[in-house]
Amino acid sequence: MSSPEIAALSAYQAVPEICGEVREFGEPANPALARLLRGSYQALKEGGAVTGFYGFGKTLVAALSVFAENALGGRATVLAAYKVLRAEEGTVNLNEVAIDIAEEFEERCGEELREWLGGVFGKQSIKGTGTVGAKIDIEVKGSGLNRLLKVIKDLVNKGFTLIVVDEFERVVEMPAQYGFHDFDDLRDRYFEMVDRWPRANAGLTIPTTLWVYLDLQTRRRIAPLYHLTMNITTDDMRRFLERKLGKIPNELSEVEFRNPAVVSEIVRDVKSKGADGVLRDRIEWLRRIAESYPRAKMETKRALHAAYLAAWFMQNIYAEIPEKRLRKAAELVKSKDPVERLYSKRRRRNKLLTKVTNGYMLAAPVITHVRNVVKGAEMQHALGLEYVAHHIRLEMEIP
Amino acid sequence: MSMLKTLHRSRRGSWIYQSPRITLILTYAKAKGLDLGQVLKRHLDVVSRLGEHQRWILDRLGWLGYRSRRGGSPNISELDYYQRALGLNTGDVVKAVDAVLRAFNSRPNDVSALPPIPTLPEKLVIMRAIAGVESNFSLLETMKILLTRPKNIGDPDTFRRELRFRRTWLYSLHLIDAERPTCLGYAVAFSVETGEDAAEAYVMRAGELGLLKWIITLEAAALDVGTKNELDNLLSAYGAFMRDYLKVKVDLSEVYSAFQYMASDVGGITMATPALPIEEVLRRLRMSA
Repeated sequence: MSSPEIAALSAYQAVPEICGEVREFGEPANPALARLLRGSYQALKEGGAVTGFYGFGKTLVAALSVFAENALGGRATVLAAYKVLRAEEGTVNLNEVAIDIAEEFEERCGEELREWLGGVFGKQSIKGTGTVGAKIDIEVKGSGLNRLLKVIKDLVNKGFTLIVVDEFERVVEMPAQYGFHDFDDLRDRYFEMVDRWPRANAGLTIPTTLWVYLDLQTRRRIAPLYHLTMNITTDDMRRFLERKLGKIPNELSEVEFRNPAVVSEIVRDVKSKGADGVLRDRIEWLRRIAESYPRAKMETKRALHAAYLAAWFMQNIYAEIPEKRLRKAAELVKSKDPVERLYSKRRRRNKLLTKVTNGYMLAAPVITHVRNVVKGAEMQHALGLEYVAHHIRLEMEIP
Repeated sequence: MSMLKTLHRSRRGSWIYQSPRITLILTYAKAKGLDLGQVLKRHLDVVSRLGEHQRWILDRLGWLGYRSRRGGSPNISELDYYQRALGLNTGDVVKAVDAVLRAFNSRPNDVSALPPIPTLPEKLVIMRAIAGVESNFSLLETMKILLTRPKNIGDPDTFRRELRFRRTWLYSLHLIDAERPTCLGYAVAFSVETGEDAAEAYVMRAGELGLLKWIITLEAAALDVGTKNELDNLLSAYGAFMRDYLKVKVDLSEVYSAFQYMASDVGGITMATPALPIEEVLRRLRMSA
């Protein structure tokens, strides 16, 4: 789901879509994108980093930042870390180690994109091309992350004003294939690289998987950081959905979307099977999960089904679910009041909902149950969910 | 006449103590025998490169305590005075800071990497200090002044200086916005007035108002929490500190609802990040610019 191939692919796939939107509305349909781009560009320019979950557009904002920098008269490129590390030593063309999404944009909608970017960066008009243009040769020498640093310094010497290093994920997943003993070795080298990072004009996108190993000091060395995920609101996603579909279908009016990639997928689904089909699928998937809850009466399972649907409405398994949403979900799955059933005083010990300030949360054993079902291959197979488990994981943010 | 006790004497270089973060870092560093000058320098370096999700408080407070136009270079030797005047208990500060550093597998030296906003354990230590009878801070008197805007204030320059000092501290605790007490500020002040322990009142009222999770979210963002594992560590560190310091068990599970998650394919790590932009979180705390 968050594999690098898919991550890069999703950014490439976004190009025709965004170009279509820029032509239609004069800007991308996702209203948060301008804000995300400004924040990311600033952090990358200062030598900081951008982080974000799958689907929030790390590669996309990297490519757009580079496009903007080039169009504003600078020289910029997105390097794919894994391509640099696996390249043959010697002189290679920049294209061979770069991600060419900016070129894709230039080809498909350069003109319209420039107009929009002019607004984003507060310039009347920007005229330059979004790509570097001329073929550039670079020297690849040395090994490991030293090699990456050398390439960056080489590019800075050649007058580059913004270099973004993306696609570290693949290296993190298979360190041995890129010349590291193991993950620990990669992590140590990464610390060293951060210490020698040239700062101005060279930014990073950070795989979150490395994140957990960085201590406070190291994190501060990478600063400033810009978190894409933190800067998107459910209101943004509501407007995004509305623009893509003309209006929000009734069936989806309760849903608090949070992830742009999920919205894009839902839009495609709505176009193929209708909003009622989208909702019906989710109700069915969640019914199977609820009915697999061990040692529970049917009525409890039905109430759980409602609670799961309400959590899907919130797009977060840890959500604080307002009572109103729980009731709405109960209506849809024809369950009795889930609060009464799962949180009643009679259930002294194993309450399946937890009371919080503005509603209820699923209790820990319930979350664990959903998690085990959705992550375990056997359970997925037994419940016939193997092809949709990744949708459930993404749409309910299941850890 | 509304008078505030003398707290901020405005001696040369003492402008740094207007920042609770700097005061806490220095208190901690001194107790641990670290080089105060080095720690402060490293902290100022760190702060100069923060992202906007960490820097907002400095932007809003005009970098008070961090920059001075004519206050001279920082005066570290005033630390003892400010600790005493504020009523800060060094042992408590050390416990609070250690709790947070441990949650991130960090060493005492990393204290300089803490963000400008104090963390919850530190906030509780500050609360108990500034509400105490031995403190010159006069929490309740300050809150009353911010609410009633008295005309009769003695020497206006002194008054302004004293009030400005208290404002940055109260703002860092989310008890006031740019001008007036916040809902949390009113609630905590009333509890303290009725004799409740200030630290306990802070946690309890914030919890009842549904604000505790947003307070912690701001801190987690400032600490760049990026995985659920780190969030778990942070919350268990906060929980353990509160059990020890307040002698009460506070349920922090609600905090999880303020975050967004995504499973990662590597090493069973789940990514986690606040679910709302900082501005939105501040609106929930009723903290206008």
